Amino acid sequence: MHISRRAFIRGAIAVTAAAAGPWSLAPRKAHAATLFTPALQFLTPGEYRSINRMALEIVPAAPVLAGTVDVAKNIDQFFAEKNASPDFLILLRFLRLARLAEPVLPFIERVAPLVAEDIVSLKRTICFLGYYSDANGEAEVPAEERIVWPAIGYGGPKPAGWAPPAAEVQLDPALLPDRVEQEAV
Amino acid sequence: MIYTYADITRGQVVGPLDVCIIGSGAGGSVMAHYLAKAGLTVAVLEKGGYFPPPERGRREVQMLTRLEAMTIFTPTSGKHTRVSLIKGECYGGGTVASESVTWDFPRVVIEDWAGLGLASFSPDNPLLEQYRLELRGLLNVAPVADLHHNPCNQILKIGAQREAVHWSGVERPVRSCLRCGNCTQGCYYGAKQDAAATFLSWAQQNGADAYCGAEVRKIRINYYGSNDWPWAAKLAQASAASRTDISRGLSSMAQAAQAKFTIFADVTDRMAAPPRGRSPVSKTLVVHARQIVLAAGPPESSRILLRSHINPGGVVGRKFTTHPTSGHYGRFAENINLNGWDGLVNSIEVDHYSDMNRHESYYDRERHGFLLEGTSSLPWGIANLLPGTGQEHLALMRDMNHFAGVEILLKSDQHGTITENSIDFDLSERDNQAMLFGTWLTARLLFRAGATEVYTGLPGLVLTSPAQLDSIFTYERHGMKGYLQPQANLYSGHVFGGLIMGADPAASFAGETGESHHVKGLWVADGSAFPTNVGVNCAFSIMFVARKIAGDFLAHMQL
Repeated sequence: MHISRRAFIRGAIAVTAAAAGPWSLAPRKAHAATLFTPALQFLTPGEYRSINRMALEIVPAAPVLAGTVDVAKNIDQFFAEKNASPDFLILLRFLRLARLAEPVLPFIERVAPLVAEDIVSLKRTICFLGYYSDANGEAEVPAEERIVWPAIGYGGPKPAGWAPPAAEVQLDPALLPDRVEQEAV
Repeated sequence: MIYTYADITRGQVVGPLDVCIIGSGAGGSVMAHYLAKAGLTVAVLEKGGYFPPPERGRREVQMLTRLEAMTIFTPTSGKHTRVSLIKGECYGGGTVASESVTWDFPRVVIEDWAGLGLASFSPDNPLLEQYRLELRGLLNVAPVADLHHNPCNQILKIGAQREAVHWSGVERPVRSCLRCGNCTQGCYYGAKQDAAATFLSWAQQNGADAYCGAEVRKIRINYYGSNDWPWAAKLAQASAASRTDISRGLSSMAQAAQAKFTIFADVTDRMAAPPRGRSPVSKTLVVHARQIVLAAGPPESSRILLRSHINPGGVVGRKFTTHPTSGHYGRFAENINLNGWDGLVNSIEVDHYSDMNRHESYYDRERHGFLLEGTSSLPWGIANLLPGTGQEHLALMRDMNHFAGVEILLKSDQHGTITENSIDFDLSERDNQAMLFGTWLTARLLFRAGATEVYTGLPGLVLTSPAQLDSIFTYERHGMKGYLQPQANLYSGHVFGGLIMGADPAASFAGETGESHHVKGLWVADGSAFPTNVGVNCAFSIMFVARKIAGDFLAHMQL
């Protein structure tokens, strides 16, 4: 894979800047809204932009592309309001690693494809957190206001007063062809 | 009584008590119940928070951060294997966040342990059967009714019936289960008979106290007996005159101390979101106890001792093992709605190739040693298990209600090592072969039940026809065969070892009673004590072994 000199220099600058940034999570503070980012309680504006850039690649669903579902904002709110585990902040380390690697990912894919897979896996974990999980806030809103879960057929948490059916739906084996027998394997 | 951050003062001192139990999961809870019932003063220290039923259930990630340790993000590290460990971290431990599938402690494992020199684990010991029946009664263990298997699990049943391999519906410890599908988020309805609802609750009625949010930083041994490490060896080598001096010194230390052990814990508020910009505020809790029971689960029980520089003969952390598990999904036609996230997540298991069938004529050591479980997860879990990104992944997620999950739970024959910061563990070649055969069988059962595609746990391997099944055995990627690659996405909620029981003090931490060979009064009663894994869902096995250790404790303790 060819990497142009311009792309390499741009990547090197970005990596240096990310590496020189604070490794510690200590300086975290709330950030007021700007033209480009909403008010953030936990993430930095740079992290916010990175997550949403990754989300366009990892979960390019219509609500993400249209900005109806803000993956990074969901994660920010989850960290600030719902997370009860200090150790869960390890996801922010993952985020930092993914951001560090992003500019040179094509190079990593060429020289260490498995490391590149791991980086994509970290990006998946982060983006899926803000899109598919209850960190997306859909557990707190009525079913008719949800966007993500209905699209995948998930009904969300059972409502108060929910009662189970007396029996589960029983599959009709006649609708399930035995492909091993059919294909004589 | 249950104490949390708000209830204790900074530097609060508790004790001296008869027993301090570190960990409130399957092992710690059983110990707390039986020791408190016998009239001992007991405190239980739990690193996680206390979340009663109304605060549980229903929310996937919110509950993950409340009920489970983040070991899921810090997997074992080996040359070619990575296993993400799923471990409870709340009042009640892993029993609160598990699917509560219950298997008896397998007879073949009892035989194996007896063969390792743990004579009281002999199948001839009548107490073992008594304990098994007693625990099953207390927990209300019963089989799942046939009409209560959800469609996802029915797929595995249909495949197994057509393939003529042995399957069974699981047993569970529940009372009036609503089958809401949120077992792993803790039971909102209080139906699951987890450790918090049973043994810990009964222990409290007998006067035991629990401290939640209390992470044990260090154990200090205030005095040593003449048979304790490291003094036993020093005494053996000393001259007669020195021996007398040392013995006198040890006796005076014992007389001066309040209790043999002091435990230092940092208590944090596990109900609140962690603060930004700094570590959570903690209060120090100091507990003086005459005996300690380690039940924080592997790897934490080992790490507490390593942090405390208690490592007699270098045995702490050795012989870690697990049940590496691999998830597989079959895709079904659009008219087959499976809705895997509704109903009991895991209620059918195929045990045909389990190690429990060692006596069967068809048993082949190279291939046996795994269970298949019907399974599913909630959206984040499934999204992470399915391959790909972008439009490819979105298409899979849109079809989720037509996917059936099966996981392979492998009884690994390998051992690794727990250190303070990592766990070194690799699959063996036999493990790989058994897992590949399990993958072949899983894919075959899914095709038997009509799957149009099978997404195997082998990264990148998707089968569209049963004619491709044999490609599983030759699958290679970047020069790595089968599951012998870190990207194989293995996980496990069943962890063992690190402080194993054994007959040889040079190779094991504890004797068959669970008491340390090297430091009297130091006991282990969780999965750490297991010298082997068990090959089945293990919460009941841990409770069973803890029940036996509780009996031995009461028979042998020296307060």
